[in-house]
Amino acid sequence: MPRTVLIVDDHPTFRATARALLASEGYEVVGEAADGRSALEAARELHPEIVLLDVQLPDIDGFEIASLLAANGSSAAVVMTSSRDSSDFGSLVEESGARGFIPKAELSAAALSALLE
Amino acid sequence: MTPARRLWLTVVPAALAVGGGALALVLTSEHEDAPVLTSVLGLLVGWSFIAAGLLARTRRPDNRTGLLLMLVGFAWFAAALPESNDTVVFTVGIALSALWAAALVHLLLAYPSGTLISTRERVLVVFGYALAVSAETSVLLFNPDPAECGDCPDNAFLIADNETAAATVLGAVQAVAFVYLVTIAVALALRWRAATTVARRLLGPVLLAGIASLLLFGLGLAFDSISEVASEVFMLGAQVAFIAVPFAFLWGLLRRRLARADVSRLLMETPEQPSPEEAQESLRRALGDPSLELAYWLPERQAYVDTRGQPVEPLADETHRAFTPIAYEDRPVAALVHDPTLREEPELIEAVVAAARIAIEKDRLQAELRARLDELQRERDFVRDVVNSAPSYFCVVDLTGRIVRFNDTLTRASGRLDNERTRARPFWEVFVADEDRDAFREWFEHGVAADEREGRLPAPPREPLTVVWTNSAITDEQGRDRRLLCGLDVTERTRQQRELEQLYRQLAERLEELRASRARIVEAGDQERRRLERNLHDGAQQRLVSLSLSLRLAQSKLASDPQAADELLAGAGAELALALEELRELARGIHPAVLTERGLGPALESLAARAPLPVELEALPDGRLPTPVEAAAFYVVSEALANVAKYADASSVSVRVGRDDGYAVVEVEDDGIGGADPGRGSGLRGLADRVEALDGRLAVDSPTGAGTRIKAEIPL
Repeated sequence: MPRTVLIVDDHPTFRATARALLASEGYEVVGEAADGRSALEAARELHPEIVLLDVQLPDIDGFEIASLLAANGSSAAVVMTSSRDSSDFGSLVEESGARGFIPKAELSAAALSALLE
Repeated sequence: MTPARRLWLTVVPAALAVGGGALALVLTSEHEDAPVLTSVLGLLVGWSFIAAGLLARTRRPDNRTGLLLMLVGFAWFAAALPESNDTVVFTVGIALSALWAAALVHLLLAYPSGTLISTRERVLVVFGYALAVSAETSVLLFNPDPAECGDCPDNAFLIADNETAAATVLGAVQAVAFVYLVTIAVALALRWRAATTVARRLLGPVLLAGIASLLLFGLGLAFDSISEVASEVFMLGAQVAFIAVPFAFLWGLLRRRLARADVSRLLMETPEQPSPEEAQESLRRALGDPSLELAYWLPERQAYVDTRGQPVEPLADETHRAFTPIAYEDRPVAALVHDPTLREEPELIEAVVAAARIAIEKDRLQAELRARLDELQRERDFVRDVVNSAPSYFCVVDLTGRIVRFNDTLTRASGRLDNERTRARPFWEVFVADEDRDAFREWFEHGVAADEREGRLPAPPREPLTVVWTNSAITDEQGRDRRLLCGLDVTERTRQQRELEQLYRQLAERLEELRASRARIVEAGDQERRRLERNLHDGAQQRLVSLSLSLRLAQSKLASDPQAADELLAGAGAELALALEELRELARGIHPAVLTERGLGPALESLAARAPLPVELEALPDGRLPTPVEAAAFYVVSEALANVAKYADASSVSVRVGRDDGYAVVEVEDDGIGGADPGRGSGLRGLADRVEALDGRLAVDSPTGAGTRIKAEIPL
């Protein structure tokens, strides 16, 4: 089971809470990024197995980053997240090459594991 | 052969034969003392009557007077029979020698119609003939020498030579004859007396000669036994009067012919346009009938009226008055009511009627002409009035455009009179403004155009009028080709049209502004919703998501690490408080609750309290304003304060809100750097849209370096 995670979100509160939650449930948060550009850089350097990627970022759209990661040959499983519901995005999640979508309020190790198995 | 010709061919030879016979008797008579004188007198008398009778019969074949005249003439020649030397002829001649007198009585009583009208007249005439024959015959019975001459033939009728009987019979016969003749004379005199002027003129000569002849003849008879000389004188007088009868008759004919000439003369002397009375007087004189009345036919009443306007009816009984209508082309025009005796002078009546017909027809034609002229005059006046009162301008010009005449309406508009100063001048020089002149002349010279031409008409001291002209071909009263320039003043119409166009343009601009404003308002609303969504998403929603995760984490640590769980819960509490504050701020941004609940004043006080720089509320409205107005006013102040905080670099702001003449007036003034541009950025433009949506106005005065003053006026 992949255990290393890169958290990409522009809200520091969420990053901190998500890091604490995932760490308490056995995941290793290898890095955080507050925008798209930092996320691509961190993914290239840290090689996380999982990228927890917020849809709405200040510079680059989350779906576009997912596509770019795939294009760059990243092997990380991209899990899109948002405080909105997945139905707000239609088929964008599948088309971006992401592994799946977890609403922020429902983030947990179980949800993550279920998606990655 | 005409009846007249036949008459002459019959009567003339007979008269010549009878006259010749009489002449032969006289000239061969052995008992005639003065054969030449007797022959001449006898032929003169006899032929005079016959000739007069022939003339009368020829002129009036329906009148028997001619026959009676001829009868007298032939009867007269019978009186020559006693000149015969033969006993029987002599005796018969004696018996018929008074026949002429009876015929004369017949003539006189039947004159002038030749017909005996009353029974009394017929009795008198029959009695006369009987008396004439019987008187002499009865004398012949007892008198052997009725002619009282020694050489005369014997009396063939003598039955007894009885002098006493002869004298008695003769006396009796003479007495009866005298009485008879006097009776006739009196009857004729009475008729004369009763006759009208016209009748007297007609009867006059013949009747007078006849009466004289009869009276003298009667006196001759009466004096025969008293004084032979006196008797001879009376008899001679009787013969002279008797001879005068045919000449009197001929004189009457001649006078009638003269009277016909008089008719023409009298009618010519009548004034050119006689009054009805004058026409009547002329006709009276022409016909010699002072009782004549002239009646005019009134077609509209289908009746005759006299000169006084009283109705005149055609007469059924013409015993006392005769009615002669005057017609022209089978239409009645007038009538004469006159003495019936004039019927005996039909030529005269016809001449008068013919002359009157012409005169009346001439009058009628003149009256018609006058009426037609009057009508034409009225029509001309009417047309002139119409042309001069019409609101259009009319100007008749010749084919080169030179003015012939124009109507009063054009005079009133232009101040130019239709006189020698304007006539014959080119129309455009007088009635078209300088700048339009060349184009107008070109249009006119192009010919009768179907299209109109606008030309300004100088109308000092006012501004030139805008007139639309048309050019039509017409023919004037003398048949010359002309052009009619007809103009209509469209100054007011043009002005209204221009105003309307301007109004339309303004409306279109306003509409475009409204459309843009609506689009901006919609866009502003969209932006606001996006902002709200973003704020909610980035703010409260993120905090609540984190809160949710923290609570789940704390829950998981509650048993294993109560310390950590406690810290997580404390952090969650703080996060919740921040989320609530953010939500409250957001809600206030959507619509401040204090504005709804307590009105504009408290809302502005709250706004001022939260502003990042000092805000002085200098004036606030008393009481509540209409809700849309309060909302707009609040956002004007709110946006203005936000702008001041962002851009103005101001140290203080003053706010004034009040009512003024039906408007809510909102003023926000700062002491900042100024230079705010309402056309740039969406803030001030959005405020203006919001104010204008309520039909208000927003003014921004922001000179660089001198602060900014925003003033909104919103109708209440």
